[in-house]
Amino acid sequence: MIRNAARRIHRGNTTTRLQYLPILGALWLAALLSISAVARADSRDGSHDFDFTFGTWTEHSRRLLHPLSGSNEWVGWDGRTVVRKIWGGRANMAEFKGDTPSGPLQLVALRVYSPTSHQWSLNFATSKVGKLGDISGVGELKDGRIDFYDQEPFNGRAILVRFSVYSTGPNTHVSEQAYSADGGKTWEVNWVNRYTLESRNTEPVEEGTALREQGRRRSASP
Amino acid sequence: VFRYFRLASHIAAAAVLVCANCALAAESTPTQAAIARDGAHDFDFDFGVWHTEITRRLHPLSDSSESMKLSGTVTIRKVWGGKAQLEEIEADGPKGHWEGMSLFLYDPVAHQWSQTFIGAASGVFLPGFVGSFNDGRGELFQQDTLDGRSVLVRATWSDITPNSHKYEEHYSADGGKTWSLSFSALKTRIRS
Repeated sequence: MIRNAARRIHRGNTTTRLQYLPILGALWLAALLSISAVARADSRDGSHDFDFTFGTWTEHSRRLLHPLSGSNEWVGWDGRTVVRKIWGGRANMAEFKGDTPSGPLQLVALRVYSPTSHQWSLNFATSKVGKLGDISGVGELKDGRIDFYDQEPFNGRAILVRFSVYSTGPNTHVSEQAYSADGGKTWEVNWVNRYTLESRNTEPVEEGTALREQGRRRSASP
Repeated sequence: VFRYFRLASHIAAAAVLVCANCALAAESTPTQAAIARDGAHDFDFDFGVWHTEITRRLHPLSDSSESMKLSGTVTIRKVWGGKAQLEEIEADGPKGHWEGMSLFLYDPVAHQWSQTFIGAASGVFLPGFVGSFNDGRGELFQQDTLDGRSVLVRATWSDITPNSHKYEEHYSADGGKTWSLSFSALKTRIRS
């Protein structure tokens, strides 16, 4: 698109510039209209966009071992995620526990809504690293997907990172991460988490207590 | 955003650092021992529900002692069964209702705690405090901006008893030589 515009401008030099005034006017009007459309979209209250994720979920994750290398080698693992609301929903925390091929993994994803920018910010930590990342993803809900974006170094080069959360049914949803090395033209998905609802309850139960409760329920049933 | 293999690079970096410090190892043994202390349970005292009495100085690093008082509730719950913690603060003051949260995480490689605070009114991530406990007192530090100038901020947890403790923030405009109180909260336990 940029190349076509450049060619048009180049040709324009051989003719009178005045004839382009109406086109410029139309472009200006189009620009104004799109700006007001963007402003409308931006002022939408998105503070409940994550409500559908609150609860306890069983999770299956898959991860591409060597992103942006042409390799198609994936590893998978199972786990459990509890998504709890904070400030009545304007922030939330997803707490994951699972066993990966390289050992147990504990992870938190913190998602926070800005009432001024109407955007969500996302950051992660694992118990092994024990610190939130220096860069947070920022994004919003559009066409049924919440997409967060940020720029990060990867193998010594700057790439774009997209993290998405979207519903796939009343009791299922997906989150996934993708990298782009060409400024967002193409994306390679490298981490996919599929969630199935276990319960809308978000109170953490110690594993021992949970097992005891199960046993009690089992023995109480006829 | 999330690096599954970040630990590997962490260990690699640590290994490089250890080798670079080989020559200094003999002299730095006491320091190394202090750094290597396991502080994973240093914040356990904070789990529970607390009443908080907050005093916020309106113009820290100035002669003005003008301040604002807020009182509210702090709820601190376990994350990952106690390895990390989530703090939710709700307080009321002359400017109305105020809400914030902190995520406390322990870095087992650096043996340091980090606190990332997020105010509900802004809803964005900012660089957090990092530090550790010494002799029953927690000190976490951060670089921040006050009136357009870069300052150091120190967060401390002190006078820790099972049912009360003090949280304070001080600012320093001289690289940590002198500190001026900006925020204090006296927390008393409501329940565990």
